[in-house]
Amino acid sequence: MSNKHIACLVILFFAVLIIQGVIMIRTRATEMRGNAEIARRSVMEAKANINNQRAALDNLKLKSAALLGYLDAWEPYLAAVSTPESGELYINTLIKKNNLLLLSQRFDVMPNKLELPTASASTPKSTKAVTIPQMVRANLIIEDDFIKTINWLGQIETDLPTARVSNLDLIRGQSGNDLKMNLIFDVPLAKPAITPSPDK
Amino acid sequence: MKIEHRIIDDLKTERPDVTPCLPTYFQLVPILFYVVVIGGILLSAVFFLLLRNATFAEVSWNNENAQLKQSLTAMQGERELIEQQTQRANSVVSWVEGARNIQPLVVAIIRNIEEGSSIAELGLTRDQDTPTHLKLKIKLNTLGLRQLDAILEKIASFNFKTYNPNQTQSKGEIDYEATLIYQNTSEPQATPNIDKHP
Repeated sequence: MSNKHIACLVILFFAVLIIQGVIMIRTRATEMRGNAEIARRSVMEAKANINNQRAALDNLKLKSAALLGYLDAWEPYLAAVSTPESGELYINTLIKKNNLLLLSQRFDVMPNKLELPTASASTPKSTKAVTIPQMVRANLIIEDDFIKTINWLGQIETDLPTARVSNLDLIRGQSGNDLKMNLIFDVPLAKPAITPSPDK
Repeated sequence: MKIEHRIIDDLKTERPDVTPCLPTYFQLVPILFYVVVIGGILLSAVFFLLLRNATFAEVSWNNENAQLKQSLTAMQGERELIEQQTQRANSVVSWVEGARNIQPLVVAIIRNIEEGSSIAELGLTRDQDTPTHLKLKIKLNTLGLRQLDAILEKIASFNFKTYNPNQTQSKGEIDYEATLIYQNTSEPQATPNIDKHP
């Protein structure tokens, strides 16, 4: 093999190197275009997903608007009594304000059995979903004037609209127009209202 | 000293060519090389542009994807919040439904007592499992059933239906027991006046 042959081979070698370099760049470009296409499809899918989610969210908002409005209206009443002490204080204040003769009183903090996670096997509730986990149960025995006592009952039901009369026994009092009222009254202790976290 | 040209020529020995000439088609080699160089430069430039554009496009799509994912997360958070609030609202509705005021009913029953009749005892107990159900116990001092009928009529006007009634009558006394079930449950408990809340 002469020097001229070797020179030709060297030139051809460089030519092959250049072709190889071009092929490498092309392969890389094709690969990147493929990646870009995958990213584009991903964006298209995400956009479609967002549109579906937005439609579902709007639908949910529309459906639950009345219910949430109802909740908003009742939230201040639920928040009015948030601790057992505030419940007791509120009831005692109402009794004193009306100057009723209170024969006995007892306050217990009770679990709200209907909202316990194990309340029903068919509809189990998680602890997080419980809204009213506890209630203050007031056991009151009042004996006073009939009208005063009945009006007081009406007043407490109006002032504490979330409170529930669990048991009411009315019997004639010891004198004249008196009425003896055995009242069991449940005041709900609701969890604080759900508010969106700042990061959302 | 002067050396004559002839003498120098004499020093040079005669020799053949180092290598023979290459065949003619070998002239294609440099042409091919130039074509490859020029083509390589052009194609490299094109592919480089494609590569650069693809890189920018990928970055841009990825950024957009990240933003969309962020919006999706926010939307899911909003949805979760609404679902939690709905769940809370349902709990509140079910509590409030079981907390309908009973004082108006009691007043109506008492006011409905006619002359010659009286209530010896009146009891209303809520069912612990179904608080919308009230168990009514009433002991009447009365001579006939007319008074009881009038009371039951009054109770019905409050949208309560009586179930499982149990009645005993003896010597001018009537003991009556029944479960009262509120009928108009499709109409939710009215929202109290906001101004009056404690």
